[in-house]
Amino acid sequence: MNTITPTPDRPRSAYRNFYHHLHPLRIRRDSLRPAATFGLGLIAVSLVIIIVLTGLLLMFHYVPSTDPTAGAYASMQDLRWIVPFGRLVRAMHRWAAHFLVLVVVLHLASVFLRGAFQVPRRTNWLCGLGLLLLVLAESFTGYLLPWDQLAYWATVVASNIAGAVPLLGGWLRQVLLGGSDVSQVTLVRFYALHVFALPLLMFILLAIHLWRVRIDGGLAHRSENGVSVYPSPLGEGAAPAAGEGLRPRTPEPHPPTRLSEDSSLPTWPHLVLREAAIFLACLAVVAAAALFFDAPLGEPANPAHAPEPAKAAWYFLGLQELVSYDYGPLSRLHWPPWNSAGPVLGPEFWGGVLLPFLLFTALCAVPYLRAKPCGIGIYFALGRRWSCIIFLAALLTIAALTFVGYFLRGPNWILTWTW
Amino acid sequence: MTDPAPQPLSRRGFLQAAAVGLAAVATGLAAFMAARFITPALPHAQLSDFTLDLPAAYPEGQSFVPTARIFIERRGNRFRCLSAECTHLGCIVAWNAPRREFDCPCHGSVFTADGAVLKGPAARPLPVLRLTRDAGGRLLVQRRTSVAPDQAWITI
Amino acid sequence: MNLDRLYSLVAALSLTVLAVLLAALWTESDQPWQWYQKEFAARTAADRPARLAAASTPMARRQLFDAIELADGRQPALREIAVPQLGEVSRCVTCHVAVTEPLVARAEFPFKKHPESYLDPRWHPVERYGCLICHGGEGRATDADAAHGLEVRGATPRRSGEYVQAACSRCHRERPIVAAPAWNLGRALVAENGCSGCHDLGPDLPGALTGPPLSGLGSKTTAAWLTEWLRDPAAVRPDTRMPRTPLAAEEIKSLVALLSNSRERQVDALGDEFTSLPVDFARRGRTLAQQDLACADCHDFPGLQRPGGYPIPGRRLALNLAGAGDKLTPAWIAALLDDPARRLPTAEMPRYGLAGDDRRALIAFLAGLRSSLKLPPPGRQPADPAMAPNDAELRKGRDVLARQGCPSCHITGDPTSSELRIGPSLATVGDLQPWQIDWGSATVSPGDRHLITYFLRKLQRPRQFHDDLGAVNPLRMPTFRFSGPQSRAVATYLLSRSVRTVPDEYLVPRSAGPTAFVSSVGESVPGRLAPLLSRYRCTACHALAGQGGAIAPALDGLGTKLRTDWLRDYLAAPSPIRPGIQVSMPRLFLAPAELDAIMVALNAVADPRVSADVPAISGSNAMATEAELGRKLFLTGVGSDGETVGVCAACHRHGSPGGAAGPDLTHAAARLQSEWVYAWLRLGHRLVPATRMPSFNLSDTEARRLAAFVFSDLPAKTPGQGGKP
Repeated sequence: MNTITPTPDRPRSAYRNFYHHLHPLRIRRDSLRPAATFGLGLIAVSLVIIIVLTGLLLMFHYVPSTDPTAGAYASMQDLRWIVPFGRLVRAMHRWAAHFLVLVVVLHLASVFLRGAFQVPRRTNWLCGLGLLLLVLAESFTGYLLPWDQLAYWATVVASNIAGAVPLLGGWLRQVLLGGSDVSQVTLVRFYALHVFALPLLMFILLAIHLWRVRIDGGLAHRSENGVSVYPSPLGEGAAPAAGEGLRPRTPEPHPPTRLSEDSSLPTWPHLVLREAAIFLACLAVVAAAALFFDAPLGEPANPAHAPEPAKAAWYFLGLQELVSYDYGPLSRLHWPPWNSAGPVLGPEFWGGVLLPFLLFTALCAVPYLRAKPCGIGIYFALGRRWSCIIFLAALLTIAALTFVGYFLRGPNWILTWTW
Repeated sequence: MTDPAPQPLSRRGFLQAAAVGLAAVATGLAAFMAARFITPALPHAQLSDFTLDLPAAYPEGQSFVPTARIFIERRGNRFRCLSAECTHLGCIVAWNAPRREFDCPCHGSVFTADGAVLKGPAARPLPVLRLTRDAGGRLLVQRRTSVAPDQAWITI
Repeated sequence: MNLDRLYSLVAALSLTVLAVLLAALWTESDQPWQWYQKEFAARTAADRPARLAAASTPMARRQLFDAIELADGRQPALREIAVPQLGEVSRCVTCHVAVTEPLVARAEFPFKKHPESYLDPRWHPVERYGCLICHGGEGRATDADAAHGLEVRGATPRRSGEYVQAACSRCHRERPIVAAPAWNLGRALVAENGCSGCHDLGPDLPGALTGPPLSGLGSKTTAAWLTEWLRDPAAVRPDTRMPRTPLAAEEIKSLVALLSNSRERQVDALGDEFTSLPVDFARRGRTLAQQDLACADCHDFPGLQRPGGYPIPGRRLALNLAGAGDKLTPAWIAALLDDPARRLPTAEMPRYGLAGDDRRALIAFLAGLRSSLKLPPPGRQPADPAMAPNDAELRKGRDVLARQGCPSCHITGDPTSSELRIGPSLATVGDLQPWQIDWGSATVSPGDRHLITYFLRKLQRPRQFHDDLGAVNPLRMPTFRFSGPQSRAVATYLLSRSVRTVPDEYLVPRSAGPTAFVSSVGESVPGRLAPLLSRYRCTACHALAGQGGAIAPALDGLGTKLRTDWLRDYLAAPSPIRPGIQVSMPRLFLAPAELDAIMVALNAVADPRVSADVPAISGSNAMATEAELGRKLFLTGVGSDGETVGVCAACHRHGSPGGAAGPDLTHAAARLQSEWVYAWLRLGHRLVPATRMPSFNLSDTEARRLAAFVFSDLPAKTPGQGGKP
């Protein structure tokens, strides 16, 4: 076993260690092509950084209390009207969060269509799916914090969907709400989840996610096809020793890369400059969006009156569509099925729990359905065409549901044609 | 022209410096804005004037008024107002009636009934605050206005 | 992409970020409230120390301090009034910088001082009340539209003008509320138009029967008149309070059949006595009505004009008697004069001790008041069994009666009629949010979709929000004829119907005066007075022990206020005392024995706050000096400590000269008791809550001197001026 020995030039070495934990020495020219991944992973990381920084600032002002004069809603009003740059920071946090949801979904699609979820990146695919869930959970918990009407009623609806989970539902709902209703306790729980518990999990998973990119031999590349042994953890193109599995083994701090000079470039400065450019571009877009489009703030939460129409955030509108459909004879089934006195499994179960659960399970199972990798790093590879078609169909369905929910639902959730 | 000729700046070097410099300026501006953001916008939100009770509500001797953090001293129909905040580090002093002095519970400063320092660590006396009466005859103390000790007493 | 282009890209993107951040910086440092504060600092630059010394409120001092700092180069700063007791934060003072003091001469918004003296530290110190409790709006906002509640959903739009008065009743429990004229008018209108008959308005106005009873209508009037009346009351009597109810001709027919079918045997029994009266009786009746009975103080008469407007602004006390002869049978007029309480239990009509020819003359006069409608004269109409409507007709009439909510205002005398309120509850209508208002099929621009517009439009045309649901549940609200100011007053009152509460310490209690002390007078006094009070209906206009009307001064404490000999003469032949009074005391034609009984009873109604042990006001030489000092005070308004308290002579005269807004005090000594005057001067509103006279917070000495002057013979000429005696 080798250990990393401290060098005399300690700060520099620490920086290098940090740098090399995130970056290989060289990177394949092909992976730097914009069209290789469209930079979606880097955009997502940039947005996370923006969200964390603005979120940190917002915590200086936010009070997680339902008190109408000194609580969450009042702090939103103060951000809006008296805190210098309060509107900007809040809107940046919000816009970055919205963009992030969009970008991670696109990132998922890109990875899927490129076949980058296959061996050896199966673990990282699961890791990414976990991150997707965390991003959605962060969005959802953050949605309640302003304590306005939309926030309150979205939480009421979502907690009732959680309550539709068989067996665990009631418990889950109570744990989320800290009681039977959305209240002060709920707000504090959501706050704790939003600013600590979920970010912590997210950083752990994100660290694993980024680290696995290196372990798995960098970005998926067509050159991996037909290689019987998996790329080495030591660098793109390096052949690993047999039986290495997925554990990293770094014989020396800075292993030489085996990428050839003409097919690759040093990551410094070629990759790092691109990272900087992407981060700056994200920052500019988010800040400009925040400058021109203020984050909305509705009326203060009012448990006595549901707003008209009560819509969730756009990324949950597909789900809201699903729970508002009639599932015909299915809706007459009971839980448990043999007990006719048990609760009826309504649309909140079929559309709100079962369908998303099946979808997510299918996504998790995808890498394990095919024994032999096929078309790694190639968009719409012919060998995976059916899975690509099914995936796109599912994605388009979700997009269509979201579109219907966003544009075609009027008061009382009635379908309207607005133009 | 004794200076050594400046190194010719290469195109790459200029672009590098421009990128790093502009990024640094943007970061600096962002940091300034963040500092403004966390600075309270209403540091002195409360009025410094406190309307107290009618003079008759205060008994002979010292009375502590928690809302205004002051002591009202009454002698007959004469009134005086002393800040109750220790001039050392801001704890609220307590009136020690038997010894006729103000004791600070935090670091042991002691003041006379007139506010003068008897014992450190406090270095300055307790401020005597301006006491007036409002239109309804109630006492009015101006928390931010101190007066000379010889003008401390008002007669009702 | 080569490295040069990459570096250029990073530099360009850094520049973009920088530009966006600078744009944010610029937006932040260019806000209207900052302009206002700078402008304000510039305008108050002159003579600041003098202003600071003169500033009378903490808020004004603070604003001046801030203005000085601002002028000394500090940045503009946000400012707020936090009122934790009310859970409110008002940042209004960030722009409205001079609310408590007129710091800038001839200022416009937002540098104006708050109008009137509402923010006087004695009444509503701004630190204790903030702004929102009266004005609504969004106190946390710092840009005008948002702060005025015009763009934030859920904020109450800022209230201005008379609508601010909707907030008064949150704290004030006295009725009427001093300095809330629009609200008081709105409340009076709501009460007298019987709104609370159909709508629950909360405990402030419990349901009241504002119309005359409908029983015995067959003996009172004719079917022809009723038909005209129901078709459109205002066409028969333009100033009637009765609203126009949406009725079809068929429905009117059934209703008239039902109403005319009800007769009163007592009225019918008065018989033909009044059908043919000598012609000169009518002339005699007119003289009587004009002079002794002061009928025109309450009623409008053709050819008998009242001098001024109405006693309560916009409120008519009693019927316009034009065309009374078309409507009323002489027998019913007689029955009314004999016992007004029984015929018109909700009216304030006094009872007169008229008898014999006086009574007949008055009836002849009234029965002769015909209109241009050319209706048949309502002579004696015998009950004709052949004309009686059948049961089906009556049932139809009852249906119409119940559906249109007639029993909400009228006693129907029909045991089958329901007295349920047919309108929705308005007890919390002031809390309605804009989105809760159902505009139905009406077209309303989005900017107008707020509560005040809704009230005004609804009052103007009640059924304009009728939509498809109307067929199932028709809107039945009748059409009232409110003028613009009246509609706004009613809207103000409705806005005040709210569940929002204030902490108990903010409540201004109903005056504890009368009710508190009358019980201490002893049971016997009200006991002896009661039959007389009810016989002559004194409490229709006067209150006693908190019960009774508000048209005339309360009777509480009269025994310690008025001199007995004066009161006796007054009751026998009343003459007006206060200038500009609208309703004068009518001559009641009391019998001498009744007069004696009333004197004894009223003498016992004493006010313990008027104590007898004050130093004698007149007589002694010392008092003459006091009276001289009192005269100085009366004329100059300079009090004993050199401060101006108020010039009495601005409103009163004692001898001459003097103003005429208050009673002439020249003969006050003959009318009033000196102890009462002394107590009155000291206590003011606390003694008589409803008085129009301001309270001057006089010291005991000043009150004694003024009282001494009032009871002295000193002429009130200015010393050294040599006015006429």
